[in-house]
Amino acid sequence: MTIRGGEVVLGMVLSATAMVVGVVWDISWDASIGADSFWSPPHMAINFGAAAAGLFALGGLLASGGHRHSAVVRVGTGAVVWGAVAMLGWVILDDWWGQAYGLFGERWSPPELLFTVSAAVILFGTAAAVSGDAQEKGFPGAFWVAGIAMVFGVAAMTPYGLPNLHRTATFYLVVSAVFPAILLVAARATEGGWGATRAACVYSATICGLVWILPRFAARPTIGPIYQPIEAFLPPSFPLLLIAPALAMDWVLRRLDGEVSRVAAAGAVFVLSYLPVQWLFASFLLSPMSDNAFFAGGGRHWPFYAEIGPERSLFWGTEQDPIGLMTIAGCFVAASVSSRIGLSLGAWMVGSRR
Amino acid sequence: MRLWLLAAAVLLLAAASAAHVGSPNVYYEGEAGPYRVRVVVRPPTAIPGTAETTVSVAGGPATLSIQAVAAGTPAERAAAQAGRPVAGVEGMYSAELWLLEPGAYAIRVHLHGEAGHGEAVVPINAVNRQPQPMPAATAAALAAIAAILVAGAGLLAAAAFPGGAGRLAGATGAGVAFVLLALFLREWSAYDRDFRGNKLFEPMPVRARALVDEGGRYVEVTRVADDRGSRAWPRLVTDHGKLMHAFLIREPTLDAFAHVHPRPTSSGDFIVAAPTLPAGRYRLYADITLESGLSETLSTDFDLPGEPSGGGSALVVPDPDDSLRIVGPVPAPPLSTVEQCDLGGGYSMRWQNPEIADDPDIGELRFAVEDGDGKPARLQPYMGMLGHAAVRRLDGEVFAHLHPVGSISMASQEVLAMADSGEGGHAGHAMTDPHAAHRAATESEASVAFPFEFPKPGPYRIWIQVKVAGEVLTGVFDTQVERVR
Repeated sequence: MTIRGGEVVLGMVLSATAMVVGVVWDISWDASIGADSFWSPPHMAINFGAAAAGLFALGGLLASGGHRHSAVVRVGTGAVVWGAVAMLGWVILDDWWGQAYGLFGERWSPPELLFTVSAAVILFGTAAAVSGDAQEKGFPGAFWVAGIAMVFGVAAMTPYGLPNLHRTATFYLVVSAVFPAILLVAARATEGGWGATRAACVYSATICGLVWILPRFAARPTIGPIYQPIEAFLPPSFPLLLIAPALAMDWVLRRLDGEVSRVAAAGAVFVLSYLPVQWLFASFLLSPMSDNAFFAGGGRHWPFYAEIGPERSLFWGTEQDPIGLMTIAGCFVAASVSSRIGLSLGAWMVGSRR
Repeated sequence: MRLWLLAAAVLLLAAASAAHVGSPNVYYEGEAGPYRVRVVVRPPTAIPGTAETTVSVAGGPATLSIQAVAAGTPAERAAAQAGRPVAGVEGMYSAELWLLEPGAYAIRVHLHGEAGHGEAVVPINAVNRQPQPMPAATAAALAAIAAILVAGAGLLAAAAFPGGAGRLAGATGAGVAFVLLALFLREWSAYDRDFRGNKLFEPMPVRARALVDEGGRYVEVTRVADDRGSRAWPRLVTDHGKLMHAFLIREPTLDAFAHVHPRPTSSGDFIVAAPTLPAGRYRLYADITLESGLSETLSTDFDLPGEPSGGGSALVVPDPDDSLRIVGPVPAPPLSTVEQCDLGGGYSMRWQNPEIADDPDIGELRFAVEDGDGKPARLQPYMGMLGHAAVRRLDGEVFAHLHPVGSISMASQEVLAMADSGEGGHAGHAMTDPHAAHRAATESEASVAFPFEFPKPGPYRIWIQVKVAGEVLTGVFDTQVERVR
């Protein structure tokens, strides 16, 4: 049996994409229909996506005997198998968990932690396999996987990524800790430059696609009490404007030498180019101007179970969780650490060869 | 993976401490407009969760729409689900209803058909119960996966550092994964402790004690102070004119049984004159219904001293609907089935379907009463019902109080039916008449049936109370339940 590495890697990429799209769809399903079973279509996308990624990876490892590829490809492929096994554990645990402690588990309950880790490892492994493989055979898909990982990162932040929270310290600290790493892996591991920008484009296009497509399909809540009149799938929030720091980081990094200056610059560039942009854009997303099918904003779209009044289009937590100088300093530290991790991982993914 | 086994053992141990009553399924039989319905609701053990609901309809073909309406929310906010016909069983429909918040829910069944429009309201408690222990196969699968993940982390780390550093990296990777696994299990056990400690439904803790004066013996039921030190009772509603229906059962012989109705005292607690029961240790089960529609069975033990010698003024007069029965002690299990019971006064009661102990599909307990000549005896309503049943597993893990309308609290039904009539005002709309059973009871019938399924196997004693010629008669039956659903 021979499976060409490129095909295996392409299979992993498409499977991981299905898994992540399934996650965003599932969040919309829970908010629009409510009841879901193991067999709901988004669950199928998640489970089959993870399982298929794992099987492609396992097939790749077995067919090659694990020897023909670089360490990066082996580790990446192995990590995808690992993530898929962990995901199987999640399926088993989650099923029992729902019966024992209730369905719709709380945020960051143990099954959710396990799911997040499993999916993140699958995405990491796929990114590594793609990058390592690109060195060998030329499937330059690292930016695509990074973009999908950004979609997953935003989905994992639900509901803390709501535009209503875009003036809180926590939101910016979390974003600064998570996204520079993914953007810089893309920047480093993508052949041909502009990796961060391309990843941000994949992220934005995927979320926009779901914002525009999901509401075209009918959905009705099957659980009460119903407080929001819902007739179609709820769109996710409009993408975060991560395209701005992605462009800025790509542009600045090309002009710098030396790891220390890159890390420091990346952190600062991210904070300076993201915070003001998102701060301003959030006002627009809560205003009537964005209350349309394109932006799905204006505070219109809420899960059926949300009993919400005028605060739907207001900023929340601006007093309890305000943004101050310390927040900006914290964001800089978080973004720098995140950048350091991203640059190292990216370098490892393309640097270490057979 | 000792940690996994440890976690499984912890879960098993915690689950062994059982709930007081142990019979969560809800059975209802009654009129819904021109139809007669039998509704069985199997609530989930944890909320949010789904309640398996089946509805059997007699009285003509109909389409069903079923809602689960949380108490205090309007019915129009509840989602409606069509009842799916159950293949091969005519007139039976099923639905999976979601219960989102703990509390009282009304299961509202709307029927539309050629015969007209009808509605039935079935009250249920949506509450968190003791989680079932994890099945051994599930625990084994998870332990195996955990082992693979720890070993796999080691292999991955080793592969990431080819060459001499690989072995050290592999050990480190496996070690880190093991620590993460331990942290994960710690998180899990904290979640489990929180769930069992703070989120389980516990009936209000009460205390009972016997008071004695020259006039007689009394049983006082007081509330145990809650977290805030309050001993005040919540607001209750009456069920057949009584705020509390209590059963006193002598432990561990189950030979003495009384059905009494404590009344509130000026201090807000409850008191009742003790019937002429022998002295001993008793278990009290007290059914109450809160204003919210939530019904609870309170439970506690107390010691009843012997009857005082003098006969003076009574502190509390006995309730005219109080009744008692004393029979022989329950034999050692496994119990052989008792099918016939002498009721005194020439009457006898026969259990018509004791085979339910082996066949949960029968779904009801049915009894017939004969007079001394072997002729069917005419049953009269006893507190508005053709019969009252108390079902108790010997060890007390199961106790249920049943009526011919099922296991529901009719007071809850009234609360929830009145709270919101949903689509009230429609022509031809017929609410469930909570008094339908009262009317039915006026018809002469010599047998009485209680919709029920035994929730757990084991030895059971059953008390059946009926009224014949103005006398409350109590039949006592034993059985060993072998098969449950």
